Amino acid sequence: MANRKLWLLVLPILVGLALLIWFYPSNSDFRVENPLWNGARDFVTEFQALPINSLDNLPTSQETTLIVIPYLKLTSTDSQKLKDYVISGGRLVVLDDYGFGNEILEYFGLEARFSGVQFLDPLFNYKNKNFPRIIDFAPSSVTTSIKSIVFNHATSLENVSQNKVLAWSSPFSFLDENQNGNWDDGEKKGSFPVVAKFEMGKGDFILIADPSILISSMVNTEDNRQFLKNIVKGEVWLDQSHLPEVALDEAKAKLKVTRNALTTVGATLGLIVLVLVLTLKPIWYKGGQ
Amino acid sequence: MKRLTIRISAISLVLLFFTCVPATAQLAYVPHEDPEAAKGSAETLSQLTYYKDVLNIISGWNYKDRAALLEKLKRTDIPEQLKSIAQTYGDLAVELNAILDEVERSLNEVALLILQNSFTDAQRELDNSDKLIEKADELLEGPQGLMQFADTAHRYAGDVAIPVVDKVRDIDNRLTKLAQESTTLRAKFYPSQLEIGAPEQAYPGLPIEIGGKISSEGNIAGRDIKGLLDGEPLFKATTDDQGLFRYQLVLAKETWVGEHKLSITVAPEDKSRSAGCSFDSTLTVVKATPQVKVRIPKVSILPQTIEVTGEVYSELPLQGATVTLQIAGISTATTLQDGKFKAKLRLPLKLNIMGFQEAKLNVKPLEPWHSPFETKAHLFVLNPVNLGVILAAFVSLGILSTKRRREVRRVGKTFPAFAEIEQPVKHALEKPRARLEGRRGIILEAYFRVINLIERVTRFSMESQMTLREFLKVVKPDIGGAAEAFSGMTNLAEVILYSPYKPQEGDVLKAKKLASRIMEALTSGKP
Repeated sequence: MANRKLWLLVLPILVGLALLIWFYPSNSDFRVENPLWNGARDFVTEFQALPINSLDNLPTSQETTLIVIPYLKLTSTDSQKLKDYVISGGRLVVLDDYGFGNEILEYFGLEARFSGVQFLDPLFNYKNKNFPRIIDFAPSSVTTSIKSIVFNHATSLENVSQNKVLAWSSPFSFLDENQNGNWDDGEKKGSFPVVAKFEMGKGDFILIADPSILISSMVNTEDNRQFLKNIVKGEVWLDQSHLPEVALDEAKAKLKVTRNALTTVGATLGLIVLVLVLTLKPIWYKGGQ
Repeated sequence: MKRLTIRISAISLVLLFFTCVPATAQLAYVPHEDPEAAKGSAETLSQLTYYKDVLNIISGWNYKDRAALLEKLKRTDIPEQLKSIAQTYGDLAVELNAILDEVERSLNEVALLILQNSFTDAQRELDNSDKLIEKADELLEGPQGLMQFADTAHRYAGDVAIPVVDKVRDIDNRLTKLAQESTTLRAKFYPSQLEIGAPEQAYPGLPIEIGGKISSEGNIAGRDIKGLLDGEPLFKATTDDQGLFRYQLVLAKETWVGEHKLSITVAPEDKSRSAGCSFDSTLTVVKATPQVKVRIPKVSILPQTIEVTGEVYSELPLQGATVTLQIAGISTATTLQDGKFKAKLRLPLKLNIMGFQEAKLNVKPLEPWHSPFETKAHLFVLNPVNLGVILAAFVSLGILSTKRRREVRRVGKTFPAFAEIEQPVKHALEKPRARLEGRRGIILEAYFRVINLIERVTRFSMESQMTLREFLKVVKPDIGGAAEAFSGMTNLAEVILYSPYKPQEGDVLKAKKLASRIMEALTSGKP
């Protein structure tokens, strides 16, 4: 009897929690499910991007763009998949600031690197020095009709030859290595490359030193939207598998898996049988008596 | 059980809280912040350093680079007022530099022309460069000039504006140097000046006199003078020993009215190193308009020959002008004699009856200095024939309508009963005069008597557009005991008036009975 009462208490709580998790919006950075300022829902909607949770089965068509934000370590298999994708003709866009983008570059055999240090611009900025405004562009299809783009807590690129650079920060920007918000002796100053483009095989890949231009609060700032429009070609795929997950995302993912499982024929039949058994159990018990 | 419920709920909520923490961990820096919530910051040092750099190089750049620099300036975090200063400064400095470049080019040209003994061209170029120097001076030292601006910028931006002040000083020095160079070049030959005495207005066909004086440190005697009107040769003259010249000419009678460019030029003289010069003025060619005084009859009864007289005045000689008089398409012409004219015009009978007619008087002078002139006057015209015909028509109509009215009255008297039946209500209003015959007449007469009485008692008159029933409805509340009998009487009258029913003796008796009952009720004082 006590067990029965316990079930009557736990079951509604479990169902309630599941519903809460299902409907509570995600607030994780760059997540397509996140409708808030730091999510990528606006980008996905506007560019009709397809979110992917694995690098398996990447498209082979040349007219595709794969956007990767490597905030989690990539396995060598993942890096190889990306390399194969580019060589076969796809366009890879690596957006990184403080993540693991350098692992991809290393795997690709390039000298170019993300500096991993935030650069600040006290003069050419959007609201304050954390939002550097980029106004120097090399002529290219990626920078057509662009007058200024705005980054958000961005880093810079290193070891990129000038002919590969598509955009530079202003000469007033500096790398805030000690994170005190001011320029100090020894901290690098001057125009830093922030966007670069490389060719490999039949495809190409673009490095952008700030993934935040994708988030909903930045997509429509100044010419960011046009810049993203210039970058992508054909079908757009947005990798979500290298973004950190919180428990909420995991729970949501598990709920999704559960729901998908329950929608199969076998599971649906099993569920019906279970409900029938539970409903008919008292009658069965009475008959037995 | 309650405790268990509370514990499970608390644990669930804590778990939920931890699952909702954003995923931003494990990064060396914050990847981004909400731009909506971010606050602005003023980086004064960087701003001023950059601003100083901008001011320093802005005026030295060519136009395209300057525009690009100013475009970049718009995207900085520098206050708008400072941006505006840089923009204004850049514009003024560039404009001034362009003018000074032009002066420099012009002075080089002058030097070359002097070498070629082209003193007139040299003088013209020098005059041009002097004008540019004057303009540059205004841009530099005027109330909205660069010096004033530099002063403001220095006050506002302090030492940051030093590049501006320095640059303005450079421009000032350059301007002074160019002005000195202009004076030096002017001293290498003798410029000539020309003073002209010419009328501002002239009449075609009438003589005008143009005179003037040349002054120069070189030769002034025997210098060739040319006069041009709109670029076409007008006259030639030569100066006397005092440098004076005078020429009388008559403007061609075809010269059009309006403003013309009168140019007087003095040719340069190489042997005396005297420059030529020219003088342009505006000569307005006009024509005089005569004044006309007209005397015309005020009234005219057609057909009639009218006489129009008058005088034509002008400040200029006027003779033999043609005067044309026109009224309603008929015209006559005469010639002006001693400034007077007399014109006769036969006005025929026309379709109009009476009214004002416009008389146009056109004066066409023979002299080219006069312009044709037209004036208008009005006279009242009466056409007695048409008027008589219309009057006769009206009189005939009047007689005819009187006759017809009389005829109608006569017919109405002959058939009174018919009229009563056709217009019962109208007749009802004329009831004292009604003459009715037979049973129908007796019944209706009884009805009318009753109506007369009711009208007196109720003080309500039956209107012409009222039906019998409407009258009954209106008076019913006021006639008390007679109401029922009057209702019966009204029904009977309606049947008699509007149906082919022939009343019987019984109907007559009924009508009489109802009428007497109504009268009794109304006259007994108990309505």
